[in-house]
Amino acid sequence: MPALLEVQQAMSRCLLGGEMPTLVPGLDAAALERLSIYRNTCRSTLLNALRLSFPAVQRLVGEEFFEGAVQCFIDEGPGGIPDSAWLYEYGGEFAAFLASFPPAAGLPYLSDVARLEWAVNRALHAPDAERLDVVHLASLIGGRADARLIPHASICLLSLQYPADRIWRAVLEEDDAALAAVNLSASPVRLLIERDDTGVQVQRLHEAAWTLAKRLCAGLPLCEALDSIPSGAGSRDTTAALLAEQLSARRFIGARLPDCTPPGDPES
Amino acid sequence: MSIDTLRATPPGTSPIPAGAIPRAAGIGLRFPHHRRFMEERPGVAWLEAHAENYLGGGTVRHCLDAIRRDYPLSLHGVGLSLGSAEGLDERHLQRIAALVSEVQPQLVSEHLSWSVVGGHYLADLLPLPMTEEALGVVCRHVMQVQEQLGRRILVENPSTYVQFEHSSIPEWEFLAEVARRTGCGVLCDVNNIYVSACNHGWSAETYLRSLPAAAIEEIHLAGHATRALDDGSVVRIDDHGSRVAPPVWGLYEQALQLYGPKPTLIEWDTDIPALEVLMDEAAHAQHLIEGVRLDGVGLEGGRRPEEACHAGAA
Repeated sequence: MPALLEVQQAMSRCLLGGEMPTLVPGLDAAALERLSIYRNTCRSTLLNALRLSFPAVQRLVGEEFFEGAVQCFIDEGPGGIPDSAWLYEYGGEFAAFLASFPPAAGLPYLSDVARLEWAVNRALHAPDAERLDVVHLASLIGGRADARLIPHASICLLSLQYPADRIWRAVLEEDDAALAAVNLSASPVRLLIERDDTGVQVQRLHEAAWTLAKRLCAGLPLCEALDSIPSGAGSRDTTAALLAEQLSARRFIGARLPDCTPPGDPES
Repeated sequence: MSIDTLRATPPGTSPIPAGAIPRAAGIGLRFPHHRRFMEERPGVAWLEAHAENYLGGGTVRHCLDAIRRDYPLSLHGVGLSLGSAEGLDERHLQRIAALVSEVQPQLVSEHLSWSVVGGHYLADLLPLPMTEEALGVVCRHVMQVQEQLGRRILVENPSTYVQFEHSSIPEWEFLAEVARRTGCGVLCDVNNIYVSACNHGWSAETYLRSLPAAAIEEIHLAGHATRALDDGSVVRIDDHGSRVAPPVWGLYEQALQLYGPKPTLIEWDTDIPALEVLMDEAAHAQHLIEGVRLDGVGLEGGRRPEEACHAGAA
């Protein structure tokens, strides 16, 4: 009698492989057509999940192309098969897949739009946490330069070669004039994506502000985050103003402080 | 060097209504109807939400929390994969446990199926061979889930399109045995029974009569599709994309006669219609529930199985 694991592994190949296999232990050949019902449900569920997460990509390439790209993504990955039933986490590798998907080579900005849409998707569903105001945050930091900030989980910082934010907005708003006005050879854009009380925000930051936000969100100690910020002017006042701007934007939910004598340490 | 973590405490949670799911007809809460429920609080006896849709934060979760304050709620899982040979995904179970703890639903349910192998989620409720090995796996996982959640769950009978040659236990006996060994409740999906009975040539009546009436805490109703296959056979597909089929309403009446009034849910997941359509389906189910109430059936939780057998044979 085939073991349960053997059956499940064979069904997995049957549902996700590029070709329908010939046999699943315990099922005869007549069952193959019925297995295709499961295969269709599985694959269309994954397709729908990506449709919901990448609406602008779908509009840019059309439904048929999108569906074909998703089928290749499922079969070839990496990341083409979800690792959990929480499908909002599915699709994180789709942008990278599109970047090296030969049929999409004619749309070099497509993967940048996908990266932005993925960040928007993550921001939409990130867990809730109270964003601290600058007074609360300052009291947690206590003036220590070695404090590390904890960003809200919705925040993502992207540096993109193409103006994906303009393309994304124009496509979703069906604004053909705005789409036609997008300058693809403009300099790279630095974006901050986050969810606030009113919804998901996508904004452009200048290089210095973006770099500082990126470092703070990566959990660098304040002193390191503030080191050599490429602000051009480079004055302490400018850096301090940038930090004040970040702290007052309610992007952080807490702070970590190094502590050499933790409570309960037997040697203390 | 150790790190002290300083975090803001989460905002306080609002009071959540207690009490059981009413023995009345409810409907499945779906995204297109969130706004209606938020703004109008339509008159529906209770709601059921798919747990996996609410594991994150943001607007979607805020809607569930707000709706929860005004409606009895059941959380219905689709991704725990109780039948996975390799064991449960602990991370997913923890997420579900956190949601259950925060939302405090009156019922929590999952499926007699599997979806995960080799760390891959296959995005469908897949059929299990009905073997002693699978029975052991499912029972172990039901107990693990009940322990982690600190509460009893319901397990729903699946709709299936294939049967394994090495299956040795009828599905209804398998499900009854899961309930007996683990103490879990049974979610009786009448449409699934009809679909599987048609697909495999089973007797839907036998299925209904063989389930442990006392363990049944909820009934599901939904529409299904019919498809002709190349080999000339016809397969019924549980697509939740239409009104409940007339023979399924008939089977539901038999279920009510056997089990007495039970919380009954109208599910619709494909081409979701206006809320009024779902409320209309729920009203019909409610009408049938009132019918058995008047008959006095199941006032103490349903007839005993032997009486049910007798009634079914009469």
